[in-house]
Amino acid sequence: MWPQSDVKLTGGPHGLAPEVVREIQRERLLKATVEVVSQKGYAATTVRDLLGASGLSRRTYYDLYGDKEACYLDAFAEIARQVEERIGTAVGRGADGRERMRLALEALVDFCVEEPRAACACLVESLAAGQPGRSVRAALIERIATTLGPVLSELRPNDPNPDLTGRATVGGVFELLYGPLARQDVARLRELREQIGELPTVLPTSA
Amino acid sequence: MWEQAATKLTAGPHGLEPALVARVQRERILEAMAATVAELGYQQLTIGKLLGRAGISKLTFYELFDSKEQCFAAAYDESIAQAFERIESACAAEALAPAEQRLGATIDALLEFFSEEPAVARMCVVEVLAAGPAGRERRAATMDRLATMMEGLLAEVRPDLGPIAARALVGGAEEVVFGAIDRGQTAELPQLAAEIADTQLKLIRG
Repeated sequence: MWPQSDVKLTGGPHGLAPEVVREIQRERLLKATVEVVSQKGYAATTVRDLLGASGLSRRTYYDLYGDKEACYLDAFAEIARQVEERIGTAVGRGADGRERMRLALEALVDFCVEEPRAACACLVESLAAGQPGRSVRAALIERIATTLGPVLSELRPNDPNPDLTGRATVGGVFELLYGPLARQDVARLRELREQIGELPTVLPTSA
Repeated sequence: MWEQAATKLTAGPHGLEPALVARVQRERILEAMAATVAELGYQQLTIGKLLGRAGISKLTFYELFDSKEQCFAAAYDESIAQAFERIESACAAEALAPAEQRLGATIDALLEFFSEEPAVARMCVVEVLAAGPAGRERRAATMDRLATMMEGLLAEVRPDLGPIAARALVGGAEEVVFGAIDRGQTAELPQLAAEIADTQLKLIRG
């Protein structure tokens, strides 16, 4: 998720430009945020936990972010971007509407399987991060529903309430992922992949 | 919910039995729990704020509850029990009707309850997920119950649809309801119930 976070920054002059150092430190911190929040939960996560997990100084932390919430929201935004990119790419393939939906939903599950901590931090812990967490999560669902909109209206051309169907579709899949992500049960996510992919086939029965 | 909370307990000897006094105080606290959590969020909830709202002393609180967490759990459990009673009544009234009608009756009953009790709705649907592992477990148990009910209804109409489809349908509805409650739109829940039932039936029957 954050490829630069592993770059070594030894004490003293790094020989790297300050902006580069800063970016590496930021990625390290965001990666640590995902690790700690997905393990301890958002509420129980402290700045001290994040400092310990990232190896950053308190001063560097506060240079980068004002508080735990700002740091978390930045991590969420990056994870959301990756999720949307995967779904957007998948929905562009596929021979017909059903297959496009299947590929899109499978892409979402694949992200959860490959990055279970990031997916947990994003899909599960956002609901424990107060109104700001709920808002960004709702906005993510809205954007995914919008991406799937054309496919859904192809599958269900006479839907009187396509917005509701879109949100219910994404919300329903998020609900299936919630429990396994909270438990970090990757095996269960793999099991669910096929059944989630099948939902667009079994549910809208109209051709 | 907690109708006895409004019973007057004037200072000095109430002339009321201690058991009744305790019950009134307990309900006052639970009602205050729902109101305070709904207003401030679980993260900001303190016993001080709760007691201030309930007009109850700390001593009395700890006679009735072990902790703020246990108090929240009691408020949640009693509210959800009431919600399911409303659902069961509605389904009993429609016992001979086809599954489709019982699905509509279920959603109507649940959302009507939430529209009548906005603080309870916010506590049970939104804030429960901010209430730590105990909150998440409670919410999971409620969703399990609703998913099982949905499975039962689906078995009559679409026996090919199993537990995954049932949970996806319940989860999707929950997401929509969550959004409405989070935006403070509980007055619109009865209308939303009709739209959700309609959408679900079309997904199930085509």
